[in-house]
Amino acid sequence: MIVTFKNRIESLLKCALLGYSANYEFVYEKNLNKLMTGTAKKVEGYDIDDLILRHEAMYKKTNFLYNNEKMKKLFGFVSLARFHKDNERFELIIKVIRQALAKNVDFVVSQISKESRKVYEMNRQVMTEIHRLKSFARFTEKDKILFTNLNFEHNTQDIILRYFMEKYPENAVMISERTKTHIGYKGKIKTVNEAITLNDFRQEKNELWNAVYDSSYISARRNYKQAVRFMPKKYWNNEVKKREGHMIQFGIQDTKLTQFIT
Amino acid sequence: MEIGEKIRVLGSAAKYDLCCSSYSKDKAGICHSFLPDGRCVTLFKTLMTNSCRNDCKYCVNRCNRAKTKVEFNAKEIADITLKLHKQNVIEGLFLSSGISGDEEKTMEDMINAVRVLRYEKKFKGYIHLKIIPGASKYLVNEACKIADRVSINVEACSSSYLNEIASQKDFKNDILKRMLWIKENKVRSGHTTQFVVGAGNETDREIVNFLAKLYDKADLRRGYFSAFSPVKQTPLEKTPAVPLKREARLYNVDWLMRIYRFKKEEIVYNDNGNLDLNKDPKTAIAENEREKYPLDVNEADFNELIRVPGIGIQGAQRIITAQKAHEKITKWEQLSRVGVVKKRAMPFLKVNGCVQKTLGCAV
Repeated sequence: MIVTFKNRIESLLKCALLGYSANYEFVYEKNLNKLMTGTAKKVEGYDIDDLILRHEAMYKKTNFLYNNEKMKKLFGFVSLARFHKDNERFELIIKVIRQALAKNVDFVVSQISKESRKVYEMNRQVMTEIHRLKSFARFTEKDKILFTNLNFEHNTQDIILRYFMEKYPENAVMISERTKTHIGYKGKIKTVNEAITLNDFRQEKNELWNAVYDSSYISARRNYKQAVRFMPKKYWNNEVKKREGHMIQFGIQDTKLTQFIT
Repeated sequence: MEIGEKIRVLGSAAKYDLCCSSYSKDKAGICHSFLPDGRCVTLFKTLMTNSCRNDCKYCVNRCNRAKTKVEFNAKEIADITLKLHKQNVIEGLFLSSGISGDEEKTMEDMINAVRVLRYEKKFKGYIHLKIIPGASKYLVNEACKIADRVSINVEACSSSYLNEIASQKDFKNDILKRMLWIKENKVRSGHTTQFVVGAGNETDREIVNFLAKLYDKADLRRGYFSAFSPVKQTPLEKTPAVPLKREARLYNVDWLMRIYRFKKEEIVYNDNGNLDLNKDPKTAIAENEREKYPLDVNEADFNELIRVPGIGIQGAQRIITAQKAHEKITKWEQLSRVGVVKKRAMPFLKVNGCVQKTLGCAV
């Protein structure tokens, strides 16, 4: 029997755990066709709550399934990996969940197996992208609309948009990427299938920010080694470096940084 | 004077205040840019005014130093902060000030600027407000209510050392007393302080012991260190700069005490009472307790593991989870995979019954 589930990771975990304890096979519904090949005979879809009730009726509660701490640990370990660009991500996540069930959640979290290491790396790559985009997105404001142009490598558009919507609740947020534009305002999100490059939103030369940046630097404490640790030298903006003799500065609109992020 | 020029003057005057990372209880701060000195930019750091009546010997804003006197008003600070915040180049504001008239007036102006930003402009970002030494209890309480984090700089580790460099400040009354008032307020993201390291003749041992006392008695979130660097037209302009490595070593020790729960008595100093600049303090402590090592990596508990050089909190947690899963670590490579710095940890660990005392020499 195959249990399908919706794309929430909590559901994925619950289904996986239920499926395992009841000897079910389980797949992610979007990858169903791929995984079905040669193995699956019959497909049944369940509402997760219904499935839990059935499971309780048949097998009573299992400690593993209802152990919140372990669920949270496993959830934390795989949650961001689902946004990774790798097409095999769900198969890997499922393998890792199976390992957690067969051995222990701790076995997976301590990254002893190759698969758990791989999922950990995927999780980290997505986390890094989220962190960089949150840090280096630069907005231009016009008529209460905040606009920026970003390049996404993984599927983190929703996370980034929601983050900025929460950060700027009074403004509409527009994030344009190669072929799409994501718009968020007052809790509502819309995606348009075209990249917006409005001339109105062209990045202005930012005197205020340049003044803040230049005034923050203490020349007596110059420490290129540490600066390079944070941002490799090849991504430094040569133009700024040349102008000031010693300055480095980053912004998402910089050609070099765009390479860094993608 | 244009706004850009004001930012340059007042920003340059505020840049020596290093205690301004934007960490709050809920989330860590985000670095939006990096400076060539290795620090990141998270906050719009400025003074209300660079005019100051005090005559601190190390300070760029001291009263007897020739400078262009510049000041911001509350609206200017609010507008700049909001504009930069919307561009996503900063997370919030760090506001300090020179004492132009009296402490009360200066502190009141600063609080007023933050009020405009918070209530009129509805700014929801992070605000770090400096407490002016000598400010009244009412204003200290107000500042604690309105800011995410506040700080008051102790500058030195005792009254006599402070007298050497800033004779107009009363160490106990103006600073320590205010610190205890801040403690009573339980500020959202805690309160911090900063030491000027090396402007006086204090030793690292004295600084560390005093800092430990502040953590204990004043509920301090963390201490910052600023290695003394001479400023022109000050009485200390000919005093040599303190090596940044000394500052880094003090941060190492501070980290060991706050995060790794080492006791101040365990820290190893040289005969002069200073930290060894060429040796990591954690390694020095481990070498001092040689009889406790080597530890069997598969049997040691968490508290033992985090004391080993090269093993951090996360690495120790991963080793413990592996132990719980009954997975034995049998190779040095496995340790690297869980985030242990093998080179530093090797002399203190036993893996599969083997100890590697020096690199390339298994015992």
